[in-house]
Amino acid sequence: MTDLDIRPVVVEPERVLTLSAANPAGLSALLDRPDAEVLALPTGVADGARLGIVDPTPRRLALARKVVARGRALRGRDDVWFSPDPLLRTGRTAFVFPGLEADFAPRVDDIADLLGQPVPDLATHTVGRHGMAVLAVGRLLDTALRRLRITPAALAGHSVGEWTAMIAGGVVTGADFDAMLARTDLDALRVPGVEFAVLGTTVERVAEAIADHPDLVVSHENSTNQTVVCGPGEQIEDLVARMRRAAVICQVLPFRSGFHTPMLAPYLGEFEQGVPSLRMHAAAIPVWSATTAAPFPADPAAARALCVRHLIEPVRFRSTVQALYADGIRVFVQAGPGQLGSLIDDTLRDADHLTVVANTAQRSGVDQLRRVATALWVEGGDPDFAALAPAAPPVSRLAEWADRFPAVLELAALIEDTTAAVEAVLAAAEPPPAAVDRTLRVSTADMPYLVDHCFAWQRADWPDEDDRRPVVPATTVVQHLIDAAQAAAPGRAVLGVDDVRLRRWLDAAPAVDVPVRVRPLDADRVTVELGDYASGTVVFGARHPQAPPAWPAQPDEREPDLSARDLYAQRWMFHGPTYQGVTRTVAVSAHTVRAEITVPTAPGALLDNVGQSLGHWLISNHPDRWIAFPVSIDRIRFHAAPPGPGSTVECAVRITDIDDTMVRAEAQVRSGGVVVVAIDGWADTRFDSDAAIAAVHRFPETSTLSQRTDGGWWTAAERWPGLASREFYLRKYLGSAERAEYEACLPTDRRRWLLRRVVAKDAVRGHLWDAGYGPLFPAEVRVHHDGSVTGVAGLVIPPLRVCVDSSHELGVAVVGGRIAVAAMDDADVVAARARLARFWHTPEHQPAAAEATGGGGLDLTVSPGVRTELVANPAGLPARHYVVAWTAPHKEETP
Amino acid sequence: MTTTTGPTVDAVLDDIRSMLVRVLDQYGLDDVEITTATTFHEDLGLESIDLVTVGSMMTDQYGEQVNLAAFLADLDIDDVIGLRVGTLVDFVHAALSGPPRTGS
Repeated sequence: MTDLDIRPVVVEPERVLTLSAANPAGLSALLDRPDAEVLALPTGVADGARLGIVDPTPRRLALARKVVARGRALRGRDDVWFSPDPLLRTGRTAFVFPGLEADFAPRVDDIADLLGQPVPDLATHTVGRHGMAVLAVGRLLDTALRRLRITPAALAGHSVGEWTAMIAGGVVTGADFDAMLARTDLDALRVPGVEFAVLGTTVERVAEAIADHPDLVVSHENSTNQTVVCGPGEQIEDLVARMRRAAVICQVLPFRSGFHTPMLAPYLGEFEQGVPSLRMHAAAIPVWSATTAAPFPADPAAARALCVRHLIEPVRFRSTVQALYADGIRVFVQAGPGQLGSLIDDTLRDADHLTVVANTAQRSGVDQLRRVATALWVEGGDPDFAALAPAAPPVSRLAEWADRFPAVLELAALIEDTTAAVEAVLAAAEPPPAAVDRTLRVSTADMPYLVDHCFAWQRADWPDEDDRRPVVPATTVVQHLIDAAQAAAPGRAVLGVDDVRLRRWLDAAPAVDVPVRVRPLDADRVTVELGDYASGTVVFGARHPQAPPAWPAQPDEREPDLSARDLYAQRWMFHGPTYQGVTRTVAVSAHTVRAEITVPTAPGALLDNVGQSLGHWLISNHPDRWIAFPVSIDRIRFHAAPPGPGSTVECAVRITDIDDTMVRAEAQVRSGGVVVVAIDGWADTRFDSDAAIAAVHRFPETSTLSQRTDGGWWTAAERWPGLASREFYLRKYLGSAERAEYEACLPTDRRRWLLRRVVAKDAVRGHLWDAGYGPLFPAEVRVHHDGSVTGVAGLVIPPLRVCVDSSHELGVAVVGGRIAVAAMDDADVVAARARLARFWHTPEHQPAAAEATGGGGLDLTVSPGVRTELVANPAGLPARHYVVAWTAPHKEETP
Repeated sequence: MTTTTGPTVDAVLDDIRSMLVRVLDQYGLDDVEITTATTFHEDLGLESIDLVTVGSMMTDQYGEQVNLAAFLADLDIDDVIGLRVGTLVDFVHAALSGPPRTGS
């Protein structure tokens, strides 16, 4: 070591005292002791009344004793929060994002550090820049608040803050917004040179005052006692003078623009190319429009139209706050600096609510967030105070520079040799990757996004999570390989992953602990094993490798028949929202497919959507065998930082090889035409999936693997002979109790058992459908060993009995009758007949049976009610004929 | 012409203190210490919208002679942010001690 001693300066965070009791009297009792003892009290679990104090000084404790004794809420005065009846027990939280105000002094450096994000550009010298600085601070705070586990139930914004709300709520993605911003010259935006006056009075009084001045309009109905008027400078000056004479407090804002007035209309063209031009999505969290004082419409066209109205119609912030309150919002977190919260207080007055400011010039960003967390906790929230402490390991400095200053990369290209030499030195200085062993807990509680990656559809309120079969997708496994590798080499940039092998499904229900084993291979590579489920080699480096050129479009490309919407709506893809990223199917050809992907939030979801595009290619080109899942990926390279959630990228997939069992492909993910991720040797194993059985994959509640015959009995041919396919369909048919039965079978008996169970359940569902039952998932009916049937999880069905039999690849079943099947192999015909005879061996049929076993031939048709039919295996299975004998349901005799 | 004699400075401070307590009570606090050195924003946590309430309370109490809006118009934004209770007291006292306005 050198004598240079660089140690981080440790600043102890402010202490937060949190206390709870069943009621204010209980809290008073807790506080009725010396300060030192109060400070040593545990938080407590009651939520009847809560108290929170940041930096509990003797003075603040004294104040707390006083307000608690009085029993009335105190919300933030002198950093003390007390709620006798926490608001969030019944109320909900909204984030409100400020717009442009006269004063803008955010404190966000330490928050950006905490989040590992760059400090936003806070310049305000033009209206365009001012707006974007306000917006960037709002987004940063939104991220920080959610990191603190403070999640909004509604979002709203004032003026430009409404765009922040739209991003935070997912109406437009942050990535799309950033791309739009990158192509906008903020300093060149033209706005009308009109002025704003903030008037401290009601909108009614203002309307009266400007009634005879057609050039003056109300641009903002801010709060009960604050209204903004916009118009030409001279008239604004005149209005302000008049109003001041009438003792109305006025302020002329230090910037000009005609936003939210008809005066902007002639300038609208440029702004329509802005936010209204972006792809609109249904909001993930309701975003309230201050134009309509109602949530944004889900329809993209309507949302876009509202965006335009927002630019030229008044901001009705007061009405919006009242509507939010009426909707149950009681806690308003102001996600930015400024006075927006005071407008809310002015509007809501004595109505019980909390406003809390998430940023202020008065103290550091993190210290203010601590107050937000305290305030929310006191109202019954559950913020994560620990998230306020910095924990992130330092990132590689070169990578950080390259991210923040693109010019570093250009410079690097110019002085390649020098850079390489520098990197060699730096790499030598990097500690080698370490061996790491840890455990990954796989469950839907630990990985909530997995509820969007379930293999088996079930009824909406289905109680048994196992039956949905949440599975960790291969691509999420890849992300876990990367995450584990990063723990072995903190701070180093991951350039790619090689030799990914996916050996078996990693089911998330029931929960499982998977050992993760990271071992260094050399200075830049580690192998990672996730139990015996998956493995791969993760590659580190100083710099992302140079991107290969984007592939040209194929001349035989055609417009896809299947839209992105239908890909999910028609359940071709079973993925839920956090994995649904294909937002446009762009083109397909004989060997390629292209799609637009808007990166969803689940870990690994970007690559998952590359896989979904491959799936789309299979659906388009091989409809008889389109279901496929990844088994290996030879090589993944990141040529830039992987695009984050919300980014819109293009995905191109080229098929390199295909046969009945396997499809191999390579892929590019591009952003702005530049390749950011390249993938080679992506191999999917293909599953038996002709139209009939694929229907069960997509719509199990209305589809069957079996077929109904003219005779009213059901037959199923086993088209899932492979273990992987069998396991795949098994999970669609069996509830957890039945799966236990399956597991209890001797391995040699399992195929037969499953075939019989499938055809029996289809016969039962067919019978119930005939009786007027609507869609029924296979797991909703349970067939027992004795042929009785019960409904599962609340399904009520009449008493009925199903009879089932199988031979080789054929299963048969009938409800309310009896049935048997025997193969008619030439060599085996006698045995087959004997088998049938035994089946009918009941006292009534003794004579016929005796005749049969005597070798005199068997004519089952003479037995009362018994009918026979010859059937054959369908194409694709071994050629085989069978005799099926059955009694029609209505002929059954009660034993 | 007579010169009206207004209330004393202390009386005005008492008035303004009670106005501020009424505003503060809306936020749950009614017993803070208020002196002439107390700042409106930093010490009391009040925002400019609260001045509207204080302004109308002043008008109710003293009549149109005390026009807080006109007074604030002469201040720049930093002065408003740093406003002290003493400044308000001086303004009110001066407005009430001067000759009654005419022509209004």
